[in-house]
Order: sequence, then C-alpha cells, then structure tokens
Amino acid sequence: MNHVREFRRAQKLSQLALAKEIGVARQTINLIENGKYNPSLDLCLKLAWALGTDLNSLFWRNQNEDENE
Amino acid sequence: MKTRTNESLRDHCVRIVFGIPGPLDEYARQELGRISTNILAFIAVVQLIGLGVALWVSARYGDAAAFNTLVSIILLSLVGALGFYGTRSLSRAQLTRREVSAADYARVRRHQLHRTSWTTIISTAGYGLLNWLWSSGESLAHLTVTDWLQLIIFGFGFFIVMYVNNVLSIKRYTE
Repeated sequence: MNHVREFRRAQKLSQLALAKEIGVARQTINLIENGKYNPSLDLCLKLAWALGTDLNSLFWRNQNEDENE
Repeated sequence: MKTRTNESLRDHCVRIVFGIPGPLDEYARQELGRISTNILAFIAVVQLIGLGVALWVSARYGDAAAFNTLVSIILLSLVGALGFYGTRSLSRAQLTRREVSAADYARVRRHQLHRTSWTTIISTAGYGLLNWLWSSGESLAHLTVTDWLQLIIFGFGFFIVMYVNNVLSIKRYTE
C-alpha cells in the first residue's frame, strides 16, 4: 500500500482538489490510495510534485510488505 | 482540433459515445482499451460464426433467409457486446459514475431530466427515420396509426430506461 492518502491529508487536500490539480478523475485518486490501480511514472511524479514530496516517500514499500500481500 | 475545455475532438467524442462524464485520464483510457479489446474480439468471433451459419442457411433455405440470419446475428452481437457487456464493464470500472457533492445532487438530477429528454427526441427521430427507410421510403402520409404508436411507445420506453440509468449513475461521493 502507498502513502498517498497520508500525504494528501497532511496537505489538507480533498481527493477532488488533488485530482483537479493533477488533471485526473477523483475516482482515480481513490483507486490509487486504495492500492487498486498502479499509476504510470508520469502520474506518480505529478502526485509527488502536488504533495510536495518524493516518489520514495509516497510509494516505497519493503520487500516483506510485498510478500505479505 | 480542441474543444472548449482543451480536450481533443476525438476524446470528446469517445466520452460522449461511452457516456463518460469525467476526464479521460490514464485509468479511464486503460479500462476503455481493455473493454474495447474484449468487445472487438467478441464481435469478431461471433460474426465469423454467423457467417458460417449464414452460408449453411443459404444452402438450405435460400439467400433471403441467409441475409436475414446474417443481419440478425450482426445486430445481436452488437447489442450484446455494446449494450450488455460494454455497459456493465464501464459501470464496474466506475467510468460512467457521475460524482457530485450532496449540495449539487438535486441540480444534477434536474439536469439529467433535461439531457434525457433531448436524447429521447433525437433517438426517437432516428428510430423513425430508420423505420421509414426500411419500409422502402414510402411517403409519410402512408404511415398508419400503428406506426406512430410504435414510435411513441419506443420514445416513452427509451426515456424511462435512459432516465433511470442516468439517475442511478449519479453518486454522492464520500472520501
């Protein structure tokens, strides 16, 4: 699972506001936060820029997290 | 060519044809691509089989029966693929969902009534035109009461189905 939701809430942004900022639908943000959709690198970068962080902080997960899924 | 919202004309047409209210972002394109590929494969297979069936019918019952069989199979495959599978898949992918806030819900619902009315008028006119062309283009004066009644029933049924579908697609979003 990623940390998009945590960073979004820290920025006090709604899903709709974040979606409008990066040019996607609100459902797409919801699907990304729930781990049901893997965004492209381009979209990952846009998310990182919009949330004022980097890709590692948003999307990195340890190998044991991967195996448990 | 760009539309008012800086969206290409092709994307605008795709959104209208598939009934997608939101932007055509990468998720929407990916799902549309997957659904379209499945629809294309289904139609291709069914129509190849239909061609074989039509050839058999032609040998046994003549060309007129074969033609009617082929047209029926083509229409059924299109209705099945687009009407059932396509509609269901787009709904499951949440692409046709119209998300609104609680404050906007009533306004959007009223807008759906207006939109459905126009769609019904255009579709009923198209249906009437197709029927008229199918009947060898006879003069409108030759249309019977039954023909007009058929048109009214089509329009009424179409409106009910489309309105219910459009209203059900409106969702009050929660985060």
